[in-house]
Amino acid sequence: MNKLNQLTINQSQEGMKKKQFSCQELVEDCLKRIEKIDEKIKAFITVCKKRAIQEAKEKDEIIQREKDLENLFQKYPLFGIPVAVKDSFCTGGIKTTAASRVLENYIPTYDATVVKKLKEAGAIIIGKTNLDAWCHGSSTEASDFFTTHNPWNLNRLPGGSSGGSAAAMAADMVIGAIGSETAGSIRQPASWCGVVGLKPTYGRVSRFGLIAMASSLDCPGPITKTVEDSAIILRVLAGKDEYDSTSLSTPVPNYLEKINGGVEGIKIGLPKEYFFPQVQKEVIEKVREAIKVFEKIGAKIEEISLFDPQYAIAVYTILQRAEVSSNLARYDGIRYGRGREFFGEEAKRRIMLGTFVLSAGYYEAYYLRAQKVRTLICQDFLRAFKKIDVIIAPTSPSIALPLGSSKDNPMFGEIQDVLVEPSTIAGLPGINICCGFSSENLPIGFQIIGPQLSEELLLQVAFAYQNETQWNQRKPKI
Amino acid sequence: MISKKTINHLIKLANLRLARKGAKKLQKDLIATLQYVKKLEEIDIEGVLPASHPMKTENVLRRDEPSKKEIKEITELIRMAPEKKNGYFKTKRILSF
Repeated sequence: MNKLNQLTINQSQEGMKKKQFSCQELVEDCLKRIEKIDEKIKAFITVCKKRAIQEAKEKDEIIQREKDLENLFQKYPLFGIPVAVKDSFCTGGIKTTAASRVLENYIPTYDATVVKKLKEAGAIIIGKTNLDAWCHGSSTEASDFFTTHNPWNLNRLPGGSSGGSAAAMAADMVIGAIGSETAGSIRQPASWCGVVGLKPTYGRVSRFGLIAMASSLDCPGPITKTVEDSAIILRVLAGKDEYDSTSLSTPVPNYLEKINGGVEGIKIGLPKEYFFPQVQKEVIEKVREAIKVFEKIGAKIEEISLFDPQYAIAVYTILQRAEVSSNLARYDGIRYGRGREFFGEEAKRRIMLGTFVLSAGYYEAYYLRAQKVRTLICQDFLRAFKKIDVIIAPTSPSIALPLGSSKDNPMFGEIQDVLVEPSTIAGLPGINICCGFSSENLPIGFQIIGPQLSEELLLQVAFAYQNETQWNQRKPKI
Repeated sequence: MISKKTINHLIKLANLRLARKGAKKLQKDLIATLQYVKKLEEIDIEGVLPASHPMKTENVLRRDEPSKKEIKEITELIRMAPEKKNGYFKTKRILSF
C-alpha cells in the first residue's frame, strides 16, 4: 500500500487496526511527502523527523502487544496519527518560534495544553507549521522567515495566519493539523486551500501555551481533510483547563454522535450584508450553489439582516492591536533572550497602534467605543439566532490571491477577514468547508456560523453538505 | 491626526527603536488605519455597556503554590539563556541613572 499520507484520521486508524500498514509506514509516507514537496510549498518551519519515527515505532510496539485493538483506538482517538501543529503552540523540547525572529531560538520547557492533549490521545507531532509572525496577518507573508505557497497554485498565497497548517493539509503532508484563530486565521486559510477549518467557541479549547496574540479572541482549532476529522480532533482538544481561566467547563460531547443527523428542518440564515459587491462573483455563485444543495436536502433558507461587517473590522482592529501591544510587552529582551529590535515591521505597526489607542486621551475615543460596539455586535447575533439555527456566508471575499498581495497594505488582513471578524468578536464558532472551484481551479469556501457552543450542530450541517458534494475528494496537482 | 511628536512618544512608550524612515512610514500607516476605524463614530453607543470579553465570565482562583516541576523548568530555562551569571539571566542594563 502506498500514499498513506492521503488518508483521513478514520482511514489511518482502520488500516492500523487491521494491520494493513504500520504506524511507522504511515509516518514515513507523510515525511516522504514533506521531503518531496515542502521545498516548493514551505509549509513547515520545523520537521521532527527522528522524533516522529521513534514515536511511531513505540506506537507499533503497543499495537503488536495489545490484544484489544478496538479498545486501544477508542481510548486513544488519535493513536498513531501524525499531526502538524502551528508554530505558535509551545512544544516542550521542540523549537517554537511563532514565525518571529524574536523567538527564533526559543525551545519551550512545556507543552501547550492543546499539544499535551494531542499527545495524550496518541497523536505524533510531525512538525511545526509556518504562520504570519505572531499570527499577525492573513497570508503568511508576514512570517519573519518565508512565505508559504498555496498547493493549488504555487504563485498564490495560502491565506493565514495558519497558512502552513492549511497548506500541509491540502498537500496531504499530514493526516491532521492544528491552527489557531483570532479572527479568520483558521477559516480563511482553510478556504483558500480547500480544506475543513473549525474555529470553536471562544474558551472551548484552552489557550494555555498558545503564544498570545489577542487574549480575548484567540482560539485553537483543527484544520483537516474532512468534517469527521475535525469532529474527532475537537473532542480531544476541548474542555476545561486549570491553566486557562477562560476555558469553559461545559461538558464536551462526542461530536461524531449526531454528525449524521442531516439538515431536515434546520433553519439557515443568509445575512444579506455578507454578500456585498466586493465579494468576488465566482465566490458568491459557488456559495449560492451550496445553498441550493442545502435546500435540496431539506434545510429551510431565510434571508436575514446583520450588523454591517465593515464595522466589525474597525472594532476588531482597535481591540486586537490594543491586546497585541500588551501581550508583546513581555518580549523585553530579558526573558526570551532576544530584544525588541528583532520585531518585524507588522508587529511594530500593531504595537504602535495598540499603544496609541490605549494611551491617555485616546482610550475613550477608540478602545472604549470599540468595546461598546462589540456589545452591539454580540447582541445582534443573539437576536439573529432567535429566528434561525445557523448562518451561512462566504468565508473570504476572494479566492487565494497572488503572492505579494499583502505588501504595503496595513489593512490587508482585516479586509480579507471582513466576513469572519463579526463572529469572532462575539466568540461564536464557525467552520469552513469547500464548495467548489474557480475557473482557475482554486478552491472556494463557505462558512457555517452558529450560536456559542453549537459545534455539534455546525459539524452536523457541514457533514451533510460534504456527503452530498464530496468537494474534498479533489486534490491539487503539485 | 498623529504628529511626529506623538509618534516619538509612542516609540518611547512601546520601547521600540525605529529608524527615521521607518518612523515616517509607520506614521503614514497609523493615520490610514485610524482613518479607517473612524467608521465607528457613525454608530450610536449611547447607554451601551462595553464588552471586554465575548462570554460571561467569573473570577477563577487557585492557590499560589510553586510546584517542583516549575523549579525544574526554571533551571532548564536559565540553561538556555544566551548569557547567565550565578543562576540568573544576564541582560543589558535596562534602567539608566
